[in-house]
Amino acid sequence: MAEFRRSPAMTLVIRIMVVIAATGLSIQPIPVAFGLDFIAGIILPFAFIRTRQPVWAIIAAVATAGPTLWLWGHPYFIVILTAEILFIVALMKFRINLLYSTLLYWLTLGPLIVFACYHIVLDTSLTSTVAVYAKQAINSIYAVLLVDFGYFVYVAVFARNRVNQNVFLSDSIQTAGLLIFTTFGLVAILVSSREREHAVIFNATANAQRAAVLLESDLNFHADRFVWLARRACALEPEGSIEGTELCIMRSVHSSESDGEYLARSPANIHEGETLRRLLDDEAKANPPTKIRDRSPLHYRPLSSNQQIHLVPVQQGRAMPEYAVPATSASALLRQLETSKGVDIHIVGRQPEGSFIQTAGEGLTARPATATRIPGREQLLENSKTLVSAWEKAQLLTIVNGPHSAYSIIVASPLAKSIEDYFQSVTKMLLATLAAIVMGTAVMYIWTLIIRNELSSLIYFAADKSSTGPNRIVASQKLLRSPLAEVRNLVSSFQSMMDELARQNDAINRLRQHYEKIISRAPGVLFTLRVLVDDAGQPRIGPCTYMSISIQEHFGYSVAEARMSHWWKASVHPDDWRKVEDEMGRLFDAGRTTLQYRFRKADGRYRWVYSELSVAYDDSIRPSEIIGFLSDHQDAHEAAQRFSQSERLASLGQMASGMAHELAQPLNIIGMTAQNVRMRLNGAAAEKEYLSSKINRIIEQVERAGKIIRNLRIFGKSANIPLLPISGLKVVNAVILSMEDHLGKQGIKLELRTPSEHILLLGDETMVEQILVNLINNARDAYDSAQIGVPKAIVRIELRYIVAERKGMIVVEDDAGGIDSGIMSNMFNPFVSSKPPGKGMGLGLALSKVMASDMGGDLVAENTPTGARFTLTLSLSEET
Amino acid sequence: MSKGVILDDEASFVEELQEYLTLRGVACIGMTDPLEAHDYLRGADYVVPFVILDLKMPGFAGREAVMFIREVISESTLLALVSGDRESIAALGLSPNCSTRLFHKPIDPEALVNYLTSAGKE
Repeated sequence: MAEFRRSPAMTLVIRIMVVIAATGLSIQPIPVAFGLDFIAGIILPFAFIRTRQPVWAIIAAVATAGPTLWLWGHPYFIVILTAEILFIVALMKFRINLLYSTLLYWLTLGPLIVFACYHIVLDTSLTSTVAVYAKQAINSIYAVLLVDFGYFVYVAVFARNRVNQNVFLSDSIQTAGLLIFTTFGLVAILVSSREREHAVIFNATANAQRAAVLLESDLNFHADRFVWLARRACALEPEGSIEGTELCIMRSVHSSESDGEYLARSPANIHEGETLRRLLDDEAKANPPTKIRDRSPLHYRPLSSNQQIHLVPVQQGRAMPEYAVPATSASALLRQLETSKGVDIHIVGRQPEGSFIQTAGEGLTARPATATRIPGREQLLENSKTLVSAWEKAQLLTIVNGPHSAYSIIVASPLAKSIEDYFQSVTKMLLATLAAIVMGTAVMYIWTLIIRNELSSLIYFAADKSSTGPNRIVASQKLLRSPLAEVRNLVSSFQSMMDELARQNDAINRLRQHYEKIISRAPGVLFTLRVLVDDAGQPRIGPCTYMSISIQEHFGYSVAEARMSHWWKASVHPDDWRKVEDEMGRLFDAGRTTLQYRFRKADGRYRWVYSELSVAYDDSIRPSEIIGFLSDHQDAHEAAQRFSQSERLASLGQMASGMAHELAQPLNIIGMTAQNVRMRLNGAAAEKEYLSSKINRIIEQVERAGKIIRNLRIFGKSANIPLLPISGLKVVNAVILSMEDHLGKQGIKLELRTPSEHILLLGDETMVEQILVNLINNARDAYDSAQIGVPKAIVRIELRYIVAERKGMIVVEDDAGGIDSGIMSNMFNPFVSSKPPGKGMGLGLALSKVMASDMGGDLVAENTPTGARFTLTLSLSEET
Repeated sequence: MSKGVILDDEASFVEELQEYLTLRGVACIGMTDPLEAHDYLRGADYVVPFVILDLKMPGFAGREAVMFIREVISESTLLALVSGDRESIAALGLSPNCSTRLFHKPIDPEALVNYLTSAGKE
């Protein structure tokens, strides 16, 4: 499964911002949307679509819209919502995202259905129909944003690795959604400001005991509120008077004239003979408000804005100056108070009889009434004061519709705000709404600017894949100049980038798995060590930070065991620890080192291991980490041992011919000497002196052969020679002491140069002495061959130490003309010699080379401008 | 009496071989220095019957040594080459010559005597 392709945190912030902005637009005092209760009803179907469950989405649409049938009295919301869900479901197979599907619906099929349901069937005014359309579209879009946000949070928290993030709206689409939302919101605000809000005004006419109800709203679904008010009105009727009360539902007339005129003009809309009680009973039996409409032709029309309603605020039982406000504002006020928490509305009285008669005009049939029970205006106010005085912080409004009106509605509210405050708050809230919209848009715009630079490179790549260089830049700049193309290109580029990142992520995962497999099956163990810094600021090796799992296979330890402190030190063979520790101590100077030592496996057996350590550095060239490799080297070590032995044998074979020659010579001489003696003895008695000389010759030749054989034995020896700390100066002095007299007689002088410090070498004293003797004899023979004597014949012996490299050198140098280039390449092979006859067998240098190697050192030769230089290199002793 | 020449860098070898050949009736003189031998051969007022030459002397070995000696000896002079290595006449790059024979160390002095005496009769 693909993982998230962009930062969840960033996406979360963007989505929260979108939701907050959209919510802010939905809960305004004059909402541009229907409200959160409405949105809650349509979220469920959208949630099912979001999770790609179309059947459940359709079922949920019908189920959640169902209550509106009872609530609003008509099934049209069910129709609208179900049609919307079906429309979106149909588009699912084209893989159009939910926001675009919803928008497409509200731009095509949605308005037609709303128009048909509300304007044609419900006879809603065109303005209000547009308002309904805009509000429902907003709610749908808002629901989409909420659902996407909720689903995003769910996936981010619970199913991050199981859901492909492609299912989410991109941030760009989210932004587009908010812009669309804002656009529809502005339309809704503009339309709503012209809409006649649903207010219910009772005309309690005393003489006819009628409750004339005027609904200035054209919104049918507020019929429930009308019924509710009607119930309240009846409940407040004086006991016994309800019998004669009739509900007269009149059609409000758009007129500046008196109410009498409009009543006269619309007699057909006056339903007489039905009492309020009966109507309400019928309504209670058949709850759907549509029945009310069927039986009571509520053809609402809005009041004109030039109609004045007088508001008389009363505080603490004291009437305040009246306000003459437009009917629309008054009705908005009523709705606000009605729907606000804690608002109650009471009808506490009616106008005196006759007032309605005076204005009723033709068409109304006055009925006898119990006039004595009808309070006058003064009484009405008194009743109101009585009621209000029982409530703290209450307000009392008396609404009188014109001088001839019989409308009397007393509204008591616990709200402690004055009317001025209300209007001021409305103004403030409108301003706040506008500010929120402007700020939201500004935030989105700024956000777009922020990501513009970041994504401009993507546009560059998306601009024209076939062009390169400046042409491509121009192409991308053209795209940047076109906002629509930019957004489209941003989305495309973003998607491409996400796809590319996903591919790279997959490749990295495959590579990681591949590396893990390689590491787990590597012929050794990989590990890393932390670098610590001591008080002096010097780096030192810290604890293990990584150990490959192959430690189990190769050495039998678990990774947890191997990462414990002191594990490694405890596993190194005690005899090898000193060497290992020294080598590790030089790691930071050299940058890398190789080690061979014995290492204890989990089963207790020691094995030879090969280890390589390398220092990794950070950007400041400071050691940051040590990367190490450890492998079982036992087989290779044994093979090397065998190879070394066989190499010696091979060397022995190579020198077989030379050895045969050297041995053949004394044997040949011995043989001929013996035959000569025998021939002498056969002929005549040999002289004693003669025989003695022959015997001495035989002995001499036997010793010669024995020496050859003794020298050759060293090639067959094992290299395991105990190496001990030896004083280079002491050895050199001993050699000089033993040779200088003899050499001096031959005109050769020995010179010694030594450093001031006394440093111990690691080696075998006898071997070093033998090598020095060989080298000095070589120099002597060279001087002899070159016939160079005093004062030029000087053999210089020099001791050198390189402590940093833990090396010590003994250099023997002469000025005898140098080594013949013809034998330089094989001068260390046995029986190779450039000496004159009788000067040697050619074993000295070969033996010296072998002895140097056996001591872990080396012997090299080079020519100087005047002679030859031999350098014996040995390790410094740990005691140095 | 004309004497053959023994040339080898090993003095003990030269002495014993010279004594052996002398005891066997083959007159010869021994030398260890190639230059000295070269001068002697060039200055000899008789035909040197044979030269026994060591092919592995320091600075004087192999084909070059043979050619160096051949310069100053007669075609009738027998050449007995003595070598410690397993080399051959062909390997030395010498043209086949009935008067040249290779002996490997340790040499059989009696075989050498036979070669010198039989060739001399021929």
